Amino acid sequence: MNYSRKMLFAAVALVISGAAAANDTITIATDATFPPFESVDASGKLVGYDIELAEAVCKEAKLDCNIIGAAWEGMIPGLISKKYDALISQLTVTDARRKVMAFSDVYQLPTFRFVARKGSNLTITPEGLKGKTIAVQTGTPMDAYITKHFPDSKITRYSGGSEPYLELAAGRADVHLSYEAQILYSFLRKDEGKDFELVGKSLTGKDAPEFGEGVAIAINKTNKDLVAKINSGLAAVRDSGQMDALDAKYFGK
Amino acid sequence: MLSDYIATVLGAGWISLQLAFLSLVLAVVLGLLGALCKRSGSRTLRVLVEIYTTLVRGVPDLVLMLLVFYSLPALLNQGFEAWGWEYSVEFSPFTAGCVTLGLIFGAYMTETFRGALQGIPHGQIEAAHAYGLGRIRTLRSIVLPQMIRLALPGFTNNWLVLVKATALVSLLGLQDIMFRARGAAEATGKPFTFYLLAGSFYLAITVVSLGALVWVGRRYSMGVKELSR
Repeated sequence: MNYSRKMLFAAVALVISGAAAANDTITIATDATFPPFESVDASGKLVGYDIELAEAVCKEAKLDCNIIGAAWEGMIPGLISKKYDALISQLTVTDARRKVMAFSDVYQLPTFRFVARKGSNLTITPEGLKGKTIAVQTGTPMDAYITKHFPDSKITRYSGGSEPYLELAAGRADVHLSYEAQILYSFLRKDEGKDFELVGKSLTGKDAPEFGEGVAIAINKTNKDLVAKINSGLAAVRDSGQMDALDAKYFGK
Repeated sequence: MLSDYIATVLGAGWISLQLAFLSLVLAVVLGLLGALCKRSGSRTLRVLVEIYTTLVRGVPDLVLMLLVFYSLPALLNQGFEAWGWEYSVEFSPFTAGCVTLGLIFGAYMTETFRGALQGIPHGQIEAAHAYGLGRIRTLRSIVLPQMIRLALPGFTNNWLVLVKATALVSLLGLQDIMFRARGAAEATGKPFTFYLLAGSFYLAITVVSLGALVWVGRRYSMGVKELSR
């Protein structure tokens, strides 16, 4: 290997790497479009349950973390190609996802629920929703559940978390299935949501395998070391009562 | 509260502008080189540039961008590892976006500039040589000023499309105006407000650019109008 060529490559690599992360910094990506779990505040700063949790976990695990906003479509490719070391974005653990990424211990067991216009008297069964339009966010556990169990309904899928609510409010969709906490926080509390209510019963991973085993931090599959560190951080956050404090702050339970 | 969000979103417009300008510089350099190669006597150069423009214009912008951002560094790093070098390459979303847009619009600029070059009568170049002007001097004083006039309509189109194409880079996670608008839309539940805001930003750039380019056009068509009418 000729020296000058080596130097040239080093220079090129240096230039294009730009502000590439130093070795010890862990880059965690989140799709900040899902309040109250992850969103941006007015100054552009990341806020929400997952953000505070990630910060606490990094502190307990003594990791130097950099949490950045990413696009939903680019997050999983970014994790696989090692652009991001981990993802925290209300990611549900499923077998399909486990094939391409590693997961930390589950930190939350979300409940899912339908939301519809008040007084619409819908029966939440495959027969009751026959011919009705169900709006869901694409690629989510809710999408998988509806696709499997409601074959006779019309399903409309959206890439963003807020579009299904717009469809509901516009009357183009009859019901929407999402995280119960998200419906309560980001729709029913607002003006647009005052004519709507939760319908049916709360659903969890126990009701259908499509809802997954719970929510966890996704980590690059080859980084076994980081999985162990994040799990120790999560355990410390749980044992010290910080997790309960977060639950109380965001969900009042 | 809402006005703070609006300020943050518009603030990110600076990133979009920087991206657009840097990509334009790269595109113009590539376009000039490409056009000169296409008109050169060397068959190899002509074929190489033909492959470049066909390939780049034939592949969708988004596909190319995802390839450059996700696949190219992985491929390079694998190559480095296989050769036993300890370098690792990493593109930031900004770099990847800039390189991809520069490459794509370099191909369009190549065609625009080639067309403009063809529009200059060959007799003028021969006349310049007859007067003893060198190749560089001919290019600078005879060819380039006329090329600007002839290339301007195509250039304007390319620039306007380029500005809007920068929105694609938000998919790579670049915190540009589109990315911020989406974040604000989802956080406040008012998508129309913020997408309209982003839309007006692009429209404003278009209006300002058109104004500036009309002025440039007038400047470079001095003395030509009377003849062509």
